[in-house]
Amino acid sequence: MSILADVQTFVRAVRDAPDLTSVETLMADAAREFGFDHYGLTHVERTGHRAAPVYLSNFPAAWLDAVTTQLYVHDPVLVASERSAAAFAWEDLPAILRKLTQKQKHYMEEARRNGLAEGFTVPLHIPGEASGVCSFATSGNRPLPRASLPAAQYVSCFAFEAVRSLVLAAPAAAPTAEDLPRLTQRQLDCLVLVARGKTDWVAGQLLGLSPETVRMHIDNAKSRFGVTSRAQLMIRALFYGQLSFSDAMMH
Amino acid sequence: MVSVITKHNRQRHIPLVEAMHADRKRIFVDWLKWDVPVVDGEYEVDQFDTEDAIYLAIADPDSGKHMGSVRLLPSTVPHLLSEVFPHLVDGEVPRAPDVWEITRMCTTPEIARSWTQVQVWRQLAVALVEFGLLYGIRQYTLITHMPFVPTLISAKWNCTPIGLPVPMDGVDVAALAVDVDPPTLARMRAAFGPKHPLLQIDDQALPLAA
Repeated sequence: MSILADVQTFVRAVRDAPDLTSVETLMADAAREFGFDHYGLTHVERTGHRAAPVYLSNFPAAWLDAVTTQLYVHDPVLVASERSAAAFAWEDLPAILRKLTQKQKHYMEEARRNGLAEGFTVPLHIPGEASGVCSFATSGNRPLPRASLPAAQYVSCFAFEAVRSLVLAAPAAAPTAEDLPRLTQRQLDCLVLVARGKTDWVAGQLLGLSPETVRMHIDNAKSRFGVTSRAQLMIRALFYGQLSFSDAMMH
Repeated sequence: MVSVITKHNRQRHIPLVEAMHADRKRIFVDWLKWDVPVVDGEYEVDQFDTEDAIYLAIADPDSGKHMGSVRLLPSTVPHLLSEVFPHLVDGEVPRAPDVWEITRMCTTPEIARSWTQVQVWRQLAVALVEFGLLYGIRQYTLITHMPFVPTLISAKWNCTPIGLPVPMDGVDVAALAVDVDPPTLARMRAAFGPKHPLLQIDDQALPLAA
């Protein structure tokens, strides 16, 4: 079979995928078939449809643990996806972002150490409606399968559309605004500063509060989301859109 | 409404046709820097704007201004894919009476506030399927740059890549085929709005039997 025939087979299969689990299976198979070790796909709806963001991947568990602590705010791939309409290999990140910060370099080194050595990312945008990214990665010393990069672009686009169709077809399954735990303005103020790496003392100085009060606001926010760690709190707040990446990354 | 403009009725649509070529110049020449001919410094008109070309164009219901349009050519005559970009297709360029080519898809830069570019584009997509069903078209072919593919395939029609993306002037470009059938139109109408036909075909659009 030619690469194009493989792409066409994937396109037909993913169009008929009955649920997100089937998309995950198809993506894992496609990643392997095209010579990658891992894939990761996100979808965020921006039409006002109350759909929770989707994150599908078969990235190594250790890496997923690492990014759900505090590393994610330094992910240069997400930043580059906002700046570049075209797909890019991770080796081109310094060119796209002009220069990686120390923390972004560290992030990519950690990714490599955790089994995501080389990668290729396809930014996905439907203006005003939805956005996402799809990445494919190799581990160890395996180089990117160059011949598969055109196919990977198609696979990304059609998987994204399949995910979006499934998400939009299931409005009842999505949480409504009323179901979501909401944070108070004060809790959000504290959360944004903590997400930017400020200590309770510094956040307190900036907000005119004592460090104990900052800590209390953060603890209350944790209990609203039913989580116990600050890392979990950040992830929930990002996931439900109460905190944005740009809030967390602004210097 | 989406007007069908052919060689038979273009006299009735001169302002819309002129505005379409002027917007095409602004979009494809001024913004996208395509190397295509410009007539009178104002209008983009190339070798495929022939008597065989049929245009679908949306005019603003209030102002009558051009909002978006596409150009259609039967694949049996020389068209962009067969003459300029055959290398984008893996194998032979599809050519048959029921295969037509979509080119010069565009939405005007100054769209009224109540419309988004994507909404105008979706109306064109629905109109394309209506037109295809009326004209006995089974499949469209088209060329697109890859960053547009998520929007293209979000129209609820079935698209199939007919070649892998190829880099061209720093952007990856690719050819796809779009299937036209009644279930597709039903899906699109359910997803995007009006249940009534968008196409407006006046009595001169189609030639009378000679």
